[in-house]
Amino acid sequence: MDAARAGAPWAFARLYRDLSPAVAGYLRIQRAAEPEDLTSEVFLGVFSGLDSFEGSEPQFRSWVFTIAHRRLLDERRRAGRRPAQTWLDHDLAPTGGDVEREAMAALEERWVIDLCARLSADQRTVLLLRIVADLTAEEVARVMGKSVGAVKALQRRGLASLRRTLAREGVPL
Amino acid sequence: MTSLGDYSDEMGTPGRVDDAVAEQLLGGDAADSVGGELAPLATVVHTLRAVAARPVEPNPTLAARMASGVFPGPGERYEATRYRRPAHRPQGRGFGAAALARVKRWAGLAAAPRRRTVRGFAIRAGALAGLVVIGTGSAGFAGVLPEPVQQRFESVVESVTPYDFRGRSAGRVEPEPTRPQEGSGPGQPQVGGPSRPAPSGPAVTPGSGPPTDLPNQDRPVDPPATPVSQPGPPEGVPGFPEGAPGPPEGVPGPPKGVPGPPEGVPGPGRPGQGAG
Repeated sequence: MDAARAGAPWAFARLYRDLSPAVAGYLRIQRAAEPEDLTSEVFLGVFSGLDSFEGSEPQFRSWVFTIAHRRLLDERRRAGRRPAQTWLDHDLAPTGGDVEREAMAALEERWVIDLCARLSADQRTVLLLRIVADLTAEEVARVMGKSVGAVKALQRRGLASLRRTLAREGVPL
Repeated sequence: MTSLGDYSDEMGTPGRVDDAVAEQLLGGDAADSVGGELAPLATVVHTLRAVAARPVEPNPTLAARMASGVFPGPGERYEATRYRRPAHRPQGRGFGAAALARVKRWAGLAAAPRRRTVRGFAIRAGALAGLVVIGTGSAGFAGVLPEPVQQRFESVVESVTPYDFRGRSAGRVEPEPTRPQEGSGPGQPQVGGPSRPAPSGPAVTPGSGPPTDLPNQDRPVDPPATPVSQPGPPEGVPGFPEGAPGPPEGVPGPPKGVPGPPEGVPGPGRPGQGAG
């Protein structure tokens, strides 16, 4: 963090490498229009405001996802009444040289994106921030501007909803 | 590949998820550790984590910034997109290209109303001049302009166009003068002036033509035959049909005091059309 504040390029690369997959995954499962570009915008904002941040590394992670969540809301506000993109519109990036593995990864990603799309927006946000961003309930409450109790209720209902969906449809993978 | 059938025997009816189980699931515990009932949920959590572990390349802008290690300050984007007064600009910023572009933009905006005003005035003046030309031309061709203006107008038009106002005046049919109506009493004032010309040929004195030329409706049904009942025209009127009332010779219109039709004789069918 201190090296990044001093402007060391390797520090920026290290922070980006550690946090960008989770940020991009969060935005992708939230069905952002351009998750990769939005991820870069998030980190432009993060690195630009690095001087104003004070806190520990977990707090930095929470701060990064706060920025990502707000950028996502801004993008949805800008999009207005534009119909939401389905997961079929996303160009799934290759994960490696193994074709079978890539295909399985693409199927998994489509499955979980479709599954999370059936949740309410708040339930989906809470579960993704808990699972993908690896934040605590208190940190999620700060990111979303809700109470910890509300966040816990949302995660319980979200998990119960997923459980009912899986009971009906099963796990295809 | 697994299916719900793998867990259906253990899951039973899906129930509530309490906080402890939720924390256990969200913490990433494996499916076998949370029990078969929650194994599908554990699979979902595991898949979500795998999706979020995929590396992403930065876009060119971010890559360039990261390589240089220079990022704009939090307020710089705002400065670049919003106009602020120079007094509020942060210290150290010179009057560079952005400021020059801003000045040019404001100068262009300030000049726009002036351009619009001049253009609008020219359009209005042109429209007014067009209306004046059209109105004057129409009035001049109609001949209703004041006399000096009319003469000037005609001279100008005749000088620049082959149009001939005099020729038009020569061929113009004069308005019909008011004629005494037949049957008007002797006390009515006589209106002199030329009578209406015949449809063909020279103008004739009223009553000088043969009676057969008269329209039937103007001819008395019962011509006065006796001077007792009708005072006839003066004696010796040449060309005047005998027995027919007519004006004295040389009088273009009916003579003053020409009596109307005899009593009992119906009047003319239409006023203003003299019997002659």
